[in-house]
Order: sequence, then structure tokens, then C-alpha cells
Amino acid sequence: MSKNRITIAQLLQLLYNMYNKDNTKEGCQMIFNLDLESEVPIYQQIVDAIIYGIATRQLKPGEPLPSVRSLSADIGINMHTVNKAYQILKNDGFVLIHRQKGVMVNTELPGVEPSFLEKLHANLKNLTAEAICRGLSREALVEQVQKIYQQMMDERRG
Amino acid sequence: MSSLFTFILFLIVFIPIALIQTCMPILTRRTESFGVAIPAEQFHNPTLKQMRKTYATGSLILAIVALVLMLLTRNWMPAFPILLLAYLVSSFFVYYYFHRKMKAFKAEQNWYIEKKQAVTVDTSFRSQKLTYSNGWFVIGLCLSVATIIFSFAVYDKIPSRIPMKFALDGTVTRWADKSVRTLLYIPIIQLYLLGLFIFVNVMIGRAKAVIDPDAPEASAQRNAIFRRRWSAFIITMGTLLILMMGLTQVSMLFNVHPEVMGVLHIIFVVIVIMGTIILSFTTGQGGSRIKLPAKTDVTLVNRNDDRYWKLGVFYFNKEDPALFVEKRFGIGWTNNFAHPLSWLIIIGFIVIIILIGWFLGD
Repeated sequence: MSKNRITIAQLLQLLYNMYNKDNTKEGCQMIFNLDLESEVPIYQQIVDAIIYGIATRQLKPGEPLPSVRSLSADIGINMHTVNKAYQILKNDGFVLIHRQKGVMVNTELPGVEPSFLEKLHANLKNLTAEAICRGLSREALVEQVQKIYQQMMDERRG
Repeated sequence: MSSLFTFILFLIVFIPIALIQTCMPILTRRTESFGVAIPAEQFHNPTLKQMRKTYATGSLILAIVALVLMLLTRNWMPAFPILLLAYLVSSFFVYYYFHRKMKAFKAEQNWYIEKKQAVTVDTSFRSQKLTYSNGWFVIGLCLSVATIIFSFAVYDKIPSRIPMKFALDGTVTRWADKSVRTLLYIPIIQLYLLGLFIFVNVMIGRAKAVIDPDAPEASAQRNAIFRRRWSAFIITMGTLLILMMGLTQVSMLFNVHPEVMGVLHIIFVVIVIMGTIILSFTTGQGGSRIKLPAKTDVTLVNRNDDRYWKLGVFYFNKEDPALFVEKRFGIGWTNNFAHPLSWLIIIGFIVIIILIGWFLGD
């Protein structure tokens, strides 16, 4: 009889654990929008969104990201597109792709590498050129950069 | 007696179906109207409100006609499935009329000019639990194994002829000789259903996550609750159904009075139907009826993806690797019919049940 009681108690404990495990939510929430009609390629939009998430710490180092399969199914696009985005993020050192653990934010984020400086220079050059053509002052341009930088740092804290 | 029983069962099944069908436009997501994508705030557009009212009236008249026809027929048994089917088919045509009307109305509006269409992603959506563990189905498995063990433990005591087919009220319409094969019939179907329920539970977890861009946090949360509730419902009702089938087998072997089983079956049907109604009205499709505080972003709108929805009900998108998506005009999920695996799964489940009937039935 006493043996039986232990089994029932154990069974109840097992069911209780099963129920509790079912209700836990891990990780924090990072929500981003994609514009499928945009001229910016979708893989680029995904790359930008994830780097933004990492910059604002909505995505923390080591945090899991959705698998290629589930992300492409949720967006409703070809898996190659998501795979391309993840490959770019991996090559730049922002994410790790494990065979078993899946995709996650890199625990060691990349530093200021020469290749990044090159990219930064090229992009700023284009934008600055257009700003000059349109008559935007140097101060207004610098102010824009400072504002965006500040906003992201504020988001980090908040 | 038998026909009165059929009539009561008809009412129990038909009234809730007609109720859900009539109320469907307010059970769907706020981003859909008669299978047509709309910006969420247009849900309260007076024209759409009027359309919902007219649809409900039409659907209600249809239900009353079916009920009157049922009362007029003397032979309730063949009338039951025929009228139910006729009601469902004609109510689809009522839906389709409003689907066309809605499409025409949408074409005249400029809903997508000032807003940006977006697809919203929540990177942590799948790191939360969306369904309850398949481990719960161990209970159902134990029940069906118990049915088998019990049947063969008392094999010698079982009468040589056992009932195989029942009318809805529990009276036997076909008998079979006792054999290992006839005794395995119900347990095998129990196991088949168990497999089906596990499949549905997995499907609930994997189905496409659609998040409304104008209120993403609340929408993602609603969707997770929606999945968890239906997962719990499938596990509970599935286990209960397997229990009922086990009891039916046991009662067959011991000639329990058929009316006892008839009453038990009715109680079971009432529980399933009441549960479905309560769940549908409190949760809504995709969790749309769950009240949550929401931060709204009025500059974004859900994507206008009508071209992938044939007749507003069949999802057909070759680019989309998703197998399962939420229904548009209905509650629950449907397949992406452009995905070959969708067809394989559907045909697979049909072939298995036909094979079971072939080998074990007679």
C-alpha cells in the first residue's frame, strides 16, 4: 500500500513538472518589421534588423535566434533568403550557427575591423555626398548621427 | 425511441455548428473580413458591420430552414447527415457571396495608400512553449493498451458474437464472430487517433506565426495563448475520446445495455461541443478575442496577401515553406496547399484509416 502511494505521488509530481515546464517563457522579446515590397532586399532587411537588435541589447549575446526553417515559414519566404542573411551575420561575426544548438547571437561580438571601417567609410561617403548636393549643413549631418547614436544607447538602458 | 434519440443528437450537434457558423465574422481575426485581408481598424467600418449583420441573418435563416426540414421528415436517420452536409455546403455559398462583395468593396477603398505593409517577426516567439507536452498522450496510450490487455485477458468469457456497428442511440446494427481481429478493431483505431492527436499538437506548435504589425506585442501574446489553449483542448478531448472508445469495447464484450452507452456518447459529444464553443468565443481565431492592453502603431498595416488565398479559404503560396497556417474564415489551421508535403500528409492519414478498415473491419 505504501509503495503504491509513493508511485501516485511521483506521478502527480511528474505531471506537475510537465505542466510547469510548459508554461515557462525564456528569452526576451525582439520584434522587427519587414517590407516585402521594398527595394531593399529581404535578406538585407533581416541582417539590419538583427544587428539593430544586438546594438540596442534587445538581443543579448548567447541568445537563441529562430531556425532558418521556422523564420522563413513565419515570414513566408524562400529558405535561401533567410539562410543568406544568417550566413552574412555569421561571416561578420554577429551570430554563431551550431549544428545542434541552432542559431544564436555571438557571445563575443566583432570589434572595429579594417573591413568594417571600409564599409563605414563607403556608406558615409555616399550619404554625405547626397547631403551636400541637397544643401544639408555639416552640423545638421553630424547632429543626425549623434541623435541616432544616442537613441540606440537610450534604448539599451530602457 | 430510436428516432427521438437521433433528433436530440441532431439538435445537440446542429445548433452549435449553426451558432459558430453564424457568428464566424466576429470570431476571426480583426485583420480579416470574409476571407479578405483588411487593416485592423477597418473592422469597425460601418459597411463591414452591416455586411456581418446581413451575413448572420442569412446564415440564421438557413439554419432555421434546415431545422424545419428536419422536423418535417419522418425518417430522421438518413436526414441527419444529409441536412448537416447540405447546411454546411449552402452556408459556404452564403460566405462566398459576402467574400465577393467584400473584395469588390475593398477594391474601391484606398486602405493601403497611406500605410506601409509589413510582415512582423518576433525572434523569441518559438523559444516559449506554444503547446503542452506530447507526454500527456501517455495517458491515452495506457488507456488503449489497457483496452487490449483487458479484452484478451477475458477472451474466454466473451460471448461468441460481438456487436460491431451501432446506431447513434447505441442499438446494434451489425454483429461479428469473436476473433482476435474483431477485438483489435477498436484498440487499433484508438492508436490511430492517438497518432492523429499527436500530429495535431505538433502542428499547433509549428504553424506559421502571424503577428499583426499595428500591435505586435499583444498580437504575439494572443497567438501564444491561442495555441496553448487549443493544445490543452486537443490533449484533454483526445484522451477522453480514447477512454470512451475503451468503455465502448468493454461494454460490447459484456452486453451492457445499449442505452447506457448511448447516454455516455451523448454526454461526451455535449462536452466536446460545449468546449469548442466556449473556446471559440473566449479565444477567437488567433486569440483575437483575448483582451490585452496594446501599444498600437498606426503607420503599419498587415500585408495584403489576398492573392494567395483561393476563394478566401484555400492557402496556396509556392514561395512559402510553411506547411500549416491559420484559417482565414474559420477557427483553427489549414494547409499550404502549394506545398507537396501537405498533400502527402492528408493522403497518408486517409490511406492508413482505409487500410485499417480493410484489414480489421469486414
